Formats: sequence, structure tokens, C-alpha cells
Amino acid sequence: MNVAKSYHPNPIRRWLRRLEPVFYIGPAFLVMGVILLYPLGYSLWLSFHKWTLRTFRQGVPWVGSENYANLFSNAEFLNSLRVTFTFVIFAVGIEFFLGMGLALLLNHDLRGKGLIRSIILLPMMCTNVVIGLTWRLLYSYDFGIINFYLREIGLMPVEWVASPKIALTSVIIVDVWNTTSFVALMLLAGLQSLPDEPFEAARIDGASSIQTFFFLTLPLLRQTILVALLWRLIDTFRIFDVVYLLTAGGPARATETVSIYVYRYGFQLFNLGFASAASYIMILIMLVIAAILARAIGRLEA
Amino acid sequence: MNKNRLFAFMAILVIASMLFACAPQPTEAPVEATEAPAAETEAPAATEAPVATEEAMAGTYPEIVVACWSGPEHDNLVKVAAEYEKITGNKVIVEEVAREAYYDKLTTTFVGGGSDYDSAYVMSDWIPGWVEAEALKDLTSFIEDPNVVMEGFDPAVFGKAVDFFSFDGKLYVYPSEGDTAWLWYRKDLFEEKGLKVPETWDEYLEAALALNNPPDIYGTVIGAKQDEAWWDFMYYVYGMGGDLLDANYNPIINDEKGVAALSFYTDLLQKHKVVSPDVTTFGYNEILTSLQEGKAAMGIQWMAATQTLTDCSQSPKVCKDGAPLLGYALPPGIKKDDGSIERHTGGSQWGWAIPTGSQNQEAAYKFIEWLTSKEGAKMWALNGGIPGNIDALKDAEVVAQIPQFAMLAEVMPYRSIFPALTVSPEMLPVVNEGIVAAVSGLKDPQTAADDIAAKLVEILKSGGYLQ
Repeated sequence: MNVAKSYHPNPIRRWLRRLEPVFYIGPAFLVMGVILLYPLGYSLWLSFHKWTLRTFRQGVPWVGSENYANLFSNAEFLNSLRVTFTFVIFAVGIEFFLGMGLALLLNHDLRGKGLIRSIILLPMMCTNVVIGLTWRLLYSYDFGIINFYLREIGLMPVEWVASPKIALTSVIIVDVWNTTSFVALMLLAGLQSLPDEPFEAARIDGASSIQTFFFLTLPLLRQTILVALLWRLIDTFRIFDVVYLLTAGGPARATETVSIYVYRYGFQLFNLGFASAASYIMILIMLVIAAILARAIGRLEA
Repeated sequence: MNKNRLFAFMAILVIASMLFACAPQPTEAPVEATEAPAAETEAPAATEAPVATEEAMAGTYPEIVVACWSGPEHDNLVKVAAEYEKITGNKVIVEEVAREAYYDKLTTTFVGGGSDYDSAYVMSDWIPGWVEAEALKDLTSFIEDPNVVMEGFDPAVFGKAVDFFSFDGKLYVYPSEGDTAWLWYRKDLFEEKGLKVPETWDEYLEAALALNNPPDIYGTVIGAKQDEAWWDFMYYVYGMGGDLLDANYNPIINDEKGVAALSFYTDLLQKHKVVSPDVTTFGYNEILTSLQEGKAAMGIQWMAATQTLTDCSQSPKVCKDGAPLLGYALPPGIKKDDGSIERHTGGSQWGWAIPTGSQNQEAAYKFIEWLTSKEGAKMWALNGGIPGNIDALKDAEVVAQIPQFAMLAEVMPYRSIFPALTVSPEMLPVVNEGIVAAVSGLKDPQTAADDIAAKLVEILKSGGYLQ
């Protein structure tokens, strides 16, 4: 900013001018404070207190770290952690490999590339409620179109969301269907921003396409890959709506992620202290994952 | 200079809009918000009661919003609320809430002191917790106020149902929909196979095995959905003489009768395979669809579904020549030595309550008072509902038009419902989880029942019901 230009003889106007940035960022800070910091602070406070529907009128006593300690001896919470990690590892892993394949495919000069790109983006445009309800119908044992075609070709129909052994796989399939295109899109953007020179040099040196991919494309794309993974890991870790609509965490808690566990304890059992503690554990895990990836991205940038 | 003025104007605009956004909203706000979708869609999420075609009377009370879960009760309420509006001129907005989220949504709103709803359709086992959380307005204060209460009103007209809703001498809910379930069966298929309608559980299984022809049609249908399993299983456990708790609140679901019932229920899927393999995703709606689509030869389903299942326009696949193919009977019982059938069954008890957060409590009271009076309850019954008002239940016109009420009267003395305790909302998920674990084969019925009982003991102790 040009100081000489912004000087004004009127001291009030000068003071107002100095305050100008506060007006720009103030509303954003105020909104963030109200909608983010206050709930975060209140839920942290709750996590150290006993708040249940039955007892809160008699008081909300301080229980220290009891809620946190109880969580780690709670089999249901440990199960939800196991389910969440299984879901995240498989969903993000598959999405990454499929997304990379799609991105490499779309990076070539294909006929109808624009159409293919539009088609693969379609799942991303659907709202999660629509996705959950649609897949629930598709997965229906008796009325679903998937089982209909399986029967048509002489295969046994599958209990997609009814069997505790298969339900989590079914949920992973939906997530992969929904967000692979997002990963592909990010990686494609990364591929298209890579410089041509190293690839030309590799070609002149006689590198095969596999060598080029592993020793050139992947290292150059590492930063984009880490950003895509970071985004997907956070998004997948906190997944709620699609799973809730598909299975509500069932059958027999086979698909109960930490988010659904928190919802159940918070808004069905109304044990808000316990649910808050669980949500803070979830935030901590996400922060650790995010910090590791962010640090890796930072190193690459440096 | 112009820039400065523009900046100052923008800043004032932003601050003013934020202040307006943070200011408390008038009670009309949810009404306005709920009216819009009703105008846009045929199946409204929130439905304004149809305006009376005759000349509109000016109402004495302000507009109220009543919450009801999806299904026949909501459809019925829309019709009956329209009649109320026609008679009194008082406007009622009916807001439909999905079944899965109904309890969560009401509890969050009521306990938080929200004024979104002036009244709601509520179930007995939710009430003690809400009363303890001071989330419900007691109706006794209105009943004792001669300026408010209807002339000649007597809560005795609800019979014993008021016991489910009275705490410390105060009544919190006006009863309605004291219901149960029937054994629905395909008359044509039973006739074709020469089977008689099952009176005992052994006959039930025999019929299911005889009629089972998957994937075209299953012998029967059961429900074991994560959040609804108890509401389908209870007809089996009560019907076989078992129970959840004894008179002293001790869990007895894992006694001989309880385990036998859970084994029977589980075996329908795991051993006999006479139900669809995905019954762990079945609740009220899925069982209804199964019967409507002709995918099940029989099944136990709530009497609230009667109108849907016997109406050929709603269930054309189970109709022939304009007549329904589905018949209904009492669920099976236990055959005694003298050959008679000893019956026990389940059910639920619903009613109408007013949250303490409502800004229009008197208006809401007048509506639910009318809705459960003989006049309103009769209308409720003739539109497919089950009245809690005994005078309406015995009304000649109602009895003539709805024959199942005679069966309901027969069932009422031996009908059990889920215990209405302050810990009920914590107990129900534990029971559901155990049933699902058994039906899906993750646990054997004895282990599942033992686990349920052990967890219930902990919950009941925390609520002070057990030492």
C-alpha cells in the first residue's frame, strides 16, 4: 500500500482508514467464531462433563477424563474405529488406483475425451442423499437391479447390505463410485501441469513408458497426489450421510463408522459428554493424519 | 471519497444483515419454510392442511405446527386437521418427518426448548425421559383451567392408556393409536394349498415352509432392521409367552421363553430360509412393500397398514377382481392342554403431546383436545386411524365400518408394550442390536439374549430401577 497516498489530514478518517482491514476480515472472523469456535469449545467442555438426557436437569458434573478413558474400553467404539480405518484404507486406496488410471487415460488424445470426462464426473454431481437412497434400491435383494441381472446371467444374488460380512464392501463400492472421478480430476490437473521437457528428454534417452511413469510422472506428481490423498482421507474419515442412508451402521454395527457412532450416542442416546469425547478422538486422529501429509507436502514445496 | 462511501455502505450492510440473521426468528418462520415444498410437490415433506372449501371461519387461536412421522398416521392427520380448520377456523400445519430420524429430531427440538413444533405425535416409551428433561408441557394445567378445557371433558374416556402418560399425578399426553399387529396372510395361497390360518407358532412355521417358493415368494416376512428390530420381534416373544422385563424390572429376555422366541425368529432365516435373505434391512416399510408386492405369503404387520394392504388402488398386486387377497387374523398363540389358544401380543401406545418450547401451547392444546374428543377421534378412525377415545372406538358407525376394532378390543387385555421408563431410549438400541446379531448369525440366540440382558441390567441400574 502506498502510505503517502493513503495519508489524510482528518485524524478520524485516518483512524478509519487504519481500521479498514478489520472491516474486511472482521465479519469472516465473527462468523467463524460463532459457527466454528463456539461449538468446538462447547463440545470440548462437554467432553469433560456428564451430560445425559436423564440427568442434565439435575446438573452437568465435571468427570475429568472419564469419558475419554471409557471410550477405549468401549467395544462399540473400538469396533467403529476398526470399521472406519478399514473403510478409509480400502476406499481411498481403490479410488487412488482407479483415479490414476482414469487420469492417465484422459491425459491422452482420445476420441470423445470430453464426453468421457463428463460421464465420469456425473457421480460427483449427485448429492449424497440421492446416492444413498439410489444405491439402497440398487442393492435391494429382491427388488434391486444388480441382483436382477445377477440372476439373469445365472449367478447367485448377493445380500449387499443385509449381510454383516458384505455390507462394508458394499459401502466402499458406493464411495469408490462416487469419488473416484474427483481423484481422477485432481490427478489429471496435476498431469496436465507437468513440464514437457523432462518427458522429451526421457523419450530421447529411450525410456520405456513404464520407466517414464515410475521415474518421472510419479515423482513429479507427488505433490498433487498428496493433496488428493489428504483431501480424500479427511473426507472419507468423517463420512456419515451415505453410510447412514445405506445401512444406518448395520447390520449388527458392521458398517458403523466413528461418525455414526458419535451420532448414535449424541442424538439417539443423548449422552452428549460421551459423544463429544468420541468426536474429539476423531478430530485428533484426523489432525495427526492431516499433519503428516501436510508436512510431506510442505517438504516437497521447499 | 466515493470508494470510502461505498466501503462504509457495504460494511453497514454486512453488519446489519448479520444482526438480522442472528436475531430470534418469529414462530411463523418454520411455517413459511414448510409451506413452500407443499406447493411444489404432490407428496409434501410438510403439508398444510387443505383449506376448507366452504367459507373460511376466522380462528380464535394462532396457527400451529404439528409434527408427525411418515406413514398412514401423517396422511390421516392431514385430512383430520383440515376438518378441524373447517370447523374452528384455526389453522394447523402438519409437518412430516422421516421415521428413522423422528425420535432424534423431536428430542433435539424439545429438549433444546425449540419452538418449531406446537404439538407432536409421540410414543409412550419416549415420554418419561422427556418429562424428566422438562421438555413436555403437562396437560393437567389446561384440564384444570375452566377457561380452556372443553365442557364435560373427562380423561377417563381414554381408559387405562392414560397410565402410560401420567407422572407425579400429571397427564402429559392425550392417547391415540393404541395399536397392535395382525397376522396377514394370502387367502388365495392358503386356499390353494389347503392350509388353515395358523393359530399356533408350529402351524405358522408349517405354513411358511409349505408356501415358501423363493425368489418368487417367501413363506413369511420378518423385520430385523438395526433401529426397528424389536417392533417386529416383540410379537414373537410376547406371543410365545416371553417378556423383556419382569414386574421388578429384571431382564428376562434370556429366559427359556425369550431364547425360544429368538431362536424361532432367527431360524426363519438361518435354518428354514422362509424369509428374504435381506431381512436385516427390513422394518415397517419393507415388510409393507413385501406384502404389497406379493413377495411374502404371510407376515405379522402393524394394523396401521390395514388401509394400505386392503385398498386395491394402493396394493394392486395383491388384489383380484377388485377384492384384496390379503386377509388378517390374530397372531399365533400357545396351544394349551385343553386345546384352547393362549394369546399374548405386543403393540405400541401413541398420543399427542405439547413441548414446553411451543409458543402456542393453548392453541395446540385445543387442537389435540378436539383431535382426541369423540368427534375428532371418530374422524381419525374413519380415515384409517385408531382412536384412543373409548366412546369413538365403540361408536356404531366406526364399529360398522372398521371391523378390526372388534379384534383390537379382544387383544387389548393381553397386549404388552415396551416398558415406559426413563431409560427406555437407552434400552431399545441394546435390544435391537441383540436381535440383529442373532438374526444375522453373528451370535447364537442364547448368547445374544444373554448379552441383551447383561446390558439392560447396567442401564436399569444407572436409572435406579435395579440395585
